[in-house]
Amino acid sequence: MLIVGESLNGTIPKVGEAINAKDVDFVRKLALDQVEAGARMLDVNAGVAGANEVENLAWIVGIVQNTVSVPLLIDSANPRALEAALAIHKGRPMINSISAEKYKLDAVLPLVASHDCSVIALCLGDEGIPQTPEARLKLARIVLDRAQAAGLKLEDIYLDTLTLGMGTSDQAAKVTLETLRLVRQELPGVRIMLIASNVSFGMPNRRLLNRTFATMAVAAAMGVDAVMIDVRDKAMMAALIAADALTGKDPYCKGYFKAFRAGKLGM
Amino acid sequence: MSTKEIAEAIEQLEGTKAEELVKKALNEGANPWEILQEGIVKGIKAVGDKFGKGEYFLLELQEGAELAEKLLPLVRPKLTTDQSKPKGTVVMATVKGDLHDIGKNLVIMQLSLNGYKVHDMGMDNPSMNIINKAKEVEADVIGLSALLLSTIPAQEEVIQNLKELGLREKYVVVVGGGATTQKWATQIGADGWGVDAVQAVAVVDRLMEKKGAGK
Repeated sequence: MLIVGESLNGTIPKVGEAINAKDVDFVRKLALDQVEAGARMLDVNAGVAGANEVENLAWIVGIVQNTVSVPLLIDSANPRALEAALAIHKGRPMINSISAEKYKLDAVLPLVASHDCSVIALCLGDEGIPQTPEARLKLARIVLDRAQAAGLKLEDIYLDTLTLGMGTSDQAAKVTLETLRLVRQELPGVRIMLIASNVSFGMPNRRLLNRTFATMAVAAAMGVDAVMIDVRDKAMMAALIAADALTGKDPYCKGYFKAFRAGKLGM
Repeated sequence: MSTKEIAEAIEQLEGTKAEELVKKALNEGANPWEILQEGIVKGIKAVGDKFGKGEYFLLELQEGAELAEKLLPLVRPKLTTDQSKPKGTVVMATVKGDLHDIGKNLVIMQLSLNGYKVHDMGMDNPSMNIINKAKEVEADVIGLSALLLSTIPAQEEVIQNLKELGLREKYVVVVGGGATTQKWATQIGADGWGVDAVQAVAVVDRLMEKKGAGK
């Protein structure tokens, strides 16, 4: 299971301030902390309202890659910002994201296809995020077909079935869990990226919901290939390491034992 | 007094109890107008206050509103037409290019429960459709919702179009949604802005009073 650290994201107010202030030390520390906590890839998002995203995204990619050696998940809806970041990224990045939206297929997919990288594909279309698992599956098929037609390999596409916040809909998590099960049945071979933190938006005790949801999602999908989480949340990390083993994705439970000996499983 | 108990049951989100109390009060011949005003409306306001203070979460606000909506049909048929006259007519729309409606729907629920007749236009509405609807239903208020930074300019477009058509003074225009602020509302010349669905009621009440006074 590829563990991606979510925290270098300009839409988080503190991080946004640091990006606006070009605070190198803040960015370095956040990158180091996440890698130390177990992240094997870091999401970088420079989306701050009213700021120059093209310049800021390249700036943050440069700093993070001078600090840690993990590849980055370059997170932007702006093709020019993606292009500038891809131009300076060392190693093989992942792009966040493409979808079945016309704009993404026209403007972002060609960019992804012309670089050596993997990509997140969202179950999202021009009509927004569908409310039913079947409709999300339909969008997954569209984006997977288009991406493969553009030359991407199936193993480089990580499907995100999307999760809405429980704060506004008590059925939000259930739709995602059902979609994960359906995707595993209907789209064999596709990789799944689980992004867990949205589920608790607008709710109290967010970490409990995030952690419970993440383990349920791993079960619904019978194992996921990647997760994006707050890696500094130790209980979450421990739960995912356990869930990975429990779905038979951790041969000889090596990952679980390693985490145990490193004192990462708590108690 | 039983109306107070109705309000308390709603405030505590005890739907079954509230329903029983309303039925009982009606059977005992209580004044339906009082049940509505002192019981149901007060209960909704109390839920709204708790949400405003951060004691209740959004889903609880929603639960309270849905609970109250179930009680209204019990009382409404017993009111005289004069008593059930709405406080005003509102056209509510999510603006062009925007596909978010959770906030708008909460505002509609709160305004309806607080005595307004609300026309829900749904999402992704071109400016002129909203204006035509307002004309058609003789609206007092136009409510414009937008969640995204990229779609809030469509709120300004509606206000510009109203000005161009010489209709700006005819309607109270209120804006809201995730990316909006009081500053934005002032900048585009809206009459009002609110941070959430509960505030929306207070803002519309205040603006309607002002409009009435100006007549």
